[in-house]
Amino acid sequence: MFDSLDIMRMAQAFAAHAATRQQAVSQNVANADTPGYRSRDAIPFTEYWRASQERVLARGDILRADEQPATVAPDGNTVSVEFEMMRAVEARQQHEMALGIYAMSRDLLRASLGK
Amino acid sequence: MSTLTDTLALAASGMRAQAQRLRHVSENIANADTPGYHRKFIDFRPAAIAGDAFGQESGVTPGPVRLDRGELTRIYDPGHILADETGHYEGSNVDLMVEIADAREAQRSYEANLRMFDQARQMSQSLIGLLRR
Repeated sequence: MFDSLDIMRMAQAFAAHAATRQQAVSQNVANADTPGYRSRDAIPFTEYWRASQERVLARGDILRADEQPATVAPDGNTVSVEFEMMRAVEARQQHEMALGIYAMSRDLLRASLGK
Repeated sequence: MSTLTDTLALAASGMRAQAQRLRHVSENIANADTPGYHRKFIDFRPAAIAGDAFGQESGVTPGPVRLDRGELTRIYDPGHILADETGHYEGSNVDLMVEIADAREAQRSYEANLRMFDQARQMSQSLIGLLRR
């Protein structure tokens, strides 16, 4: 009966992943002028989901420095603000999708209960 | 939720750092004509933000203020009270073009941080919105 709750769990993880991603982007933007700072991003959701099934993830497991940064400034900084904006929009959309799925399956559950 | 709260603190640390930088830029511009004034500047370094559950070096903090050791411009003005026997006195080493560029960069970075802040705020808002229905 509660099989459909799985999708809510996944939506929750999807939203949490989006929030972590947004945090990574914010961190990059905040450090856009810090010498030697390397931009980072969250691991892909598939990886995140698989790993979170097995154990509780620390931030070090989720965030990873970009291997091929968009730009490298002479001071070693690899943040490109334009690129971060793009990632921020992605994170936003992902978050909205996750919340949408969550709300939808909640409504579905509610409808099945006749309320 | 705490991730988004941390994000707000992160973006705020970025804004604070850029505002600090802008403060020094305006100080330099204000003193562009002060004799003997050395340009001040700061650089940024990663820092832990207060209350961050995850660990160090995620936010940003301005480093200590440093003085530009560059040579002061020598201005020819025999009537000036500070003028030496050759008629020159030492002005400041502020280059207005550099300061304006620096100010503009600080503004852009500040705006970028502000947008990140706003986006994190909206994300947590829609999260709370789920509870309302």
